[in-house]
Amino acid sequence: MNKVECQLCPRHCLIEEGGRGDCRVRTNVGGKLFSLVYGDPCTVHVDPIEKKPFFHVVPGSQAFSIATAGCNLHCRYCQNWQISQVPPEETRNMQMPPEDVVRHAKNNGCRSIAYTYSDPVVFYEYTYDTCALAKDQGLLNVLVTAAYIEQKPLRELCKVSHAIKVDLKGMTNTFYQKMSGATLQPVLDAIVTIKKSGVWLEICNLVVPTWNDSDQDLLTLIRWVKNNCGKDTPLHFSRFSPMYQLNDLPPTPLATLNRAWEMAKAEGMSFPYLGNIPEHPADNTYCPYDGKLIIGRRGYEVTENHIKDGKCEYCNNVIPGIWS
Amino acid sequence: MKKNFYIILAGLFILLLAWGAHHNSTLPSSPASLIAQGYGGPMEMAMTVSDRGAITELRVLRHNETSSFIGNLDGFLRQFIGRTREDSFIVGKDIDAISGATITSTAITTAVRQKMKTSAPPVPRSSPWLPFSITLGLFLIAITAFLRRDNALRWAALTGGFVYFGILTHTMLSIIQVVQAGLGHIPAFTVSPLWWALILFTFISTLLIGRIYCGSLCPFASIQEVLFQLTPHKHPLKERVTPHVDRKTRLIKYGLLFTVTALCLILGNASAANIEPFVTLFTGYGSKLALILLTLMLIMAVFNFRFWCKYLCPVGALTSLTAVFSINKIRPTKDCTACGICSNVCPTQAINTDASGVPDVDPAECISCAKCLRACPQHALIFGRRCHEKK
Amino acid sequence: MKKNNALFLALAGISVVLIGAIMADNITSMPGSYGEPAAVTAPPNTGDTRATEAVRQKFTRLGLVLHEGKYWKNADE
Repeated sequence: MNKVECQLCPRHCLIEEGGRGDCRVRTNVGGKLFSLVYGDPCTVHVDPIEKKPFFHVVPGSQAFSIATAGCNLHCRYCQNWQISQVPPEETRNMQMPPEDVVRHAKNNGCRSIAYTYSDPVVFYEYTYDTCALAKDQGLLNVLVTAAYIEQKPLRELCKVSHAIKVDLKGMTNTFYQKMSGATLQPVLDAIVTIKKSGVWLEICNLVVPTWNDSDQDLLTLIRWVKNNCGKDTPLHFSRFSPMYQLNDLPPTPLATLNRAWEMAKAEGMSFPYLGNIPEHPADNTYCPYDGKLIIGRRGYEVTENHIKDGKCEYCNNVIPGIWS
Repeated sequence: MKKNFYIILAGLFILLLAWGAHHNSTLPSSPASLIAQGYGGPMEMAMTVSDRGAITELRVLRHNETSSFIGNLDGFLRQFIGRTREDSFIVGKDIDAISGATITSTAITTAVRQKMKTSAPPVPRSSPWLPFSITLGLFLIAITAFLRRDNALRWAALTGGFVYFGILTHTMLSIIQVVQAGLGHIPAFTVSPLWWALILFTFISTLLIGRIYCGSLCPFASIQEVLFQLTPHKHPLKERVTPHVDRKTRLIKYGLLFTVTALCLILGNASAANIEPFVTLFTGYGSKLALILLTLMLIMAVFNFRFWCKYLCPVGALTSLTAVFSINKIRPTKDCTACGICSNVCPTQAINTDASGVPDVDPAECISCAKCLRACPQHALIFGRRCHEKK
Repeated sequence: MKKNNALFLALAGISVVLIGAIMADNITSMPGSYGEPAAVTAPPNTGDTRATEAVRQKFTRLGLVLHEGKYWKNADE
């Protein structure tokens, strides 16, 4: 009796009285569904926005980043597993209602608020309310998510977001099941919805040796992104490091990542990037029209920026992104 | 209040500060955490930067690098000690990489550089001696005003204080500074000359004369005094409370002083000290609650002379405890006729009369406004050495 | 005199309570106010299994607040 079905993400957890969803932060009390982490972030930090990574959103600025415990995926390589794979009782939480998030973000000189580290999908209500407030007060909302979310809540969330970076982890259902305990199609659908809503989209793919690093994997992903999101969508290939439950794999060889980058360029992607590799030309943004370096980066630091009024300074063509 | 009471309180406060200094020196000085993207994967590091902006410690906590890297790590990391934000932190230029580990060396250097950039104190833009001199000038005006019993000059100092400390620099004596000093976060003179000027001059002037800062310079004080003039003297709400109730309530400010200071020293940071309404007023920074407090204090000021100062201000409490040790005070001469006018006229009721009516000025509540000195019809009140006071 | 005394004391009391509330608000809402470094991130991986006792204590201490969730429905058969 008194069961509820959560409809926030494709899992559609059936939760009994006193039980929790798979994400560990939604619970059934008296036949009603509650979020356990609203206004209780366990991680708060000011980061450069390039860290998320967002390369086409107000470069060089700071993002006030928050996250609560919990996640609806269980990726074996999660680097935030200490907060994402535990219930909120096991994290040190702070009380920070949406107004305070916005206030602290402003006081810390942040241009944006980033909902990240774990996954904003699981702290949906908190994310939504904070986004709405922040948007009203002129701050940008940038979300970092695996996009394992149902269409309806996603569409609502897009209305108050400015930029979303989606982790497109792999292109096969088997990969998603084995690596993250999830499925592929809802993620693809979510990405398309985000694109259609006009929210700025950047895609990141963590390249894991032996799992999704074959030429075929990479090509399938690149082509899907190009056909469904457009060639101007920034595509980040990120380097895997041994982590959590995948400690026996080697880090992604540089050659593999270079290959991914070359393939993306060959397929016509305008803005392919490589992440987690310092001092590499793939950190920079090059104008797709005249090939000149328009944003220089060293790690998370922006060293030069030749974009004026959203256009390449040299050839005056519009460079897609949110620049102010 | 009896003098011994203040001396005990002052002594306790000094003990509290001493304890705080010890407690906070044994705490690990909050190293900042960095992640460097090493060749073998993310490396967790910890870096400590001194208040002057120089790296004092850099350690690697976790990494996936090879053993040959480890063997040369100490020498590499030692290069960073003592460097400041002004250094460029570029491998090959001012930092030598570990041979065979260029990527990781660069990664660490980059991480340190970024951290230094985002956490450095502001670089001073102009000479520190200008604010220092202006502050000195204002103090001299205030002191002169008191010594000459000149109320107009006192208002000149108050206005100067309001404009300079309040509006132009929004830096005034605050419990936050005291607590920061207690925590050891003392800014360099060149970066924050007002910090030094305010604390030094207030301390010295209080020991020499009395609560000159409170009476003739504090920007919040001038607002309160102006507000009090808004309503007529005979206003029913302005009727004074019973002296007994009044005196006991004045102790609250000492309680606040101790509570705020103790909390900050225990927690190791100054967040508990951000309670002063004048900070909210002049910097515009404060929560909804702080705004409510400010409004309440301004309203109280209309009906009760310097309500915040007398009953709540922790800085006032501190200057009070200091003033008890002042080498000078206001005292009656043998010409005093015990008419009691000075006691009536004193705006902060700092003058108590004994059984025979002879006045005794409480240095803890006296704000050195000189009104009593002006009012005495016999000119029997003087300002002189405390040790010459007849018992 | 008496009426003013009561009003005065009441307002002084309110002020003290207000200041206390401001202090508490400052301490609890600012990241790093507990004496932790300002970047509050998850503790480093020590590989330890979580002690049951620690979990139990945290649960009691936290008393997690419930906030109504969106996007769900009743699922009784």
